Amino acid sequence: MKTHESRIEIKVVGLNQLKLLSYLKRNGIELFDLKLLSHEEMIFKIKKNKFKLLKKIFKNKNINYQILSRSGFDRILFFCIKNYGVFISLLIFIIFLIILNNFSFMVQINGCTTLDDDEISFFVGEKLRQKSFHRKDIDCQEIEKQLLNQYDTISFVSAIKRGCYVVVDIKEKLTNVETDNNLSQLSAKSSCRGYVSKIEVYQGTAAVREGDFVKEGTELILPYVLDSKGEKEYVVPHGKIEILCYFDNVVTHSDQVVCFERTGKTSKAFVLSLFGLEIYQHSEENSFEMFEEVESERDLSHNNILPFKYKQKTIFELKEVVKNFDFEMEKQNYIEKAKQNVFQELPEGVIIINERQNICDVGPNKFVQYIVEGKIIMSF
Amino acid sequence: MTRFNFFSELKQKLQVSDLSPFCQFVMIDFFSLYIEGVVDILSISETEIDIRAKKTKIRVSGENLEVVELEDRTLLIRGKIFGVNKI
Repeated sequence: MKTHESRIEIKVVGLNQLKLLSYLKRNGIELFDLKLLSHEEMIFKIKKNKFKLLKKIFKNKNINYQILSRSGFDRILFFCIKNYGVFISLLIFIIFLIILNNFSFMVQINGCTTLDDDEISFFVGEKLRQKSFHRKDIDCQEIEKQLLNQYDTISFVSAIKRGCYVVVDIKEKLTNVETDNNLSQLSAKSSCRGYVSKIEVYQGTAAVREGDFVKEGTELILPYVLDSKGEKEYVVPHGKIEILCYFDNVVTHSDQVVCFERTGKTSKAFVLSLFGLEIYQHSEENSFEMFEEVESERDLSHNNILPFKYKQKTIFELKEVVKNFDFEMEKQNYIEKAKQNVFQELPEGVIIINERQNICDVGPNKFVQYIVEGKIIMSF
Repeated sequence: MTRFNFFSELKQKLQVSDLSPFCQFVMIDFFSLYIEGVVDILSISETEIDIRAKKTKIRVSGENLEVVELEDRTLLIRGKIFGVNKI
């Protein structure tokens, strides 16, 4: 039994169902999925090709029948006949698509910067119109050649057929003006501040001399050379420049420093809360002139049903204390601290030449300065 | 429609030249019964299907019986088959 066979499900109403079955059987009509609903009702399936014969028998015997459903190809066919509007629309759409697929009558231009897209699109369109819009007749290589011949500024062109479009990708040549503009921004610049100790220029024009002081961003080599007429000819700057630089850090010392210490007197306040709502709070009175507060919070219960929280605030009384520091005792610490600070801020690539420290007095304060002398070699 | 038929092999074993005068049954594990030599169907119900075969009448009893295919001389029954008796 082939399940994809076209079959028709029929309901027969009338007496003598079994007699009818025998009659149909004798006439060579195969019956499938037979269901005798009652003495007067019966449902069965027959093959599509036997339906004409069945109709004839039913007509001759004057039997009432009803088509319940169709399966297999017949179902699709019946659906198409019943919904012929949708079917015809679909058919027209497919035909239209097949026809359109044979023609490329639209042009898409990509990659134009100075050239006009519309102008090239019109040019390609004209060439297509002169020859044919049929995909088979469109020669992409010919279009590429014609575009290269027509426009001098095109460096590279590629044309392909994609659906209803002829897609043209264009790469334009870099003009001298553009090249010069790009090169003029390529000047070699300093990345640190210091004195120029050595300069070697391989290409370009030196903007500084030995002994000049430069800051960050100062131009070192200019991206051009002067020709015999005195006109600028732009080039990529190449050279090696050595800059002497120094880095320092200062730590200040005072003989007397005012600091605050706790007196030992405290005042406490606490808050009991549930779901962020304050349930109970208590605070002790205080009359401290100077104080600092320390807060702590902890959960009273470790469940999510009643998450009570206890918040405590302790207020410590402070007093002013003047402390005396001996510079000689702390001197080495200051030097180490200043040295650490300098080395932390040192940029990469510095070759250290010398390290030294200075100590100077200004009034009651002393300043400890740590200096690192080095050089940076910049290659372009 | 051509079907696989092993009755020709049976003919050799039984040493008869023709099986057509007889009624033939093929039962597959008590859920499907194929009968050849069917003349008429006498009654159809979910528990009993009566058939008139050559020279005899047969009753197929069971549960949820249904006629899957009925052709000129053959019948295919599906369901829980309890027995096939001569009546």
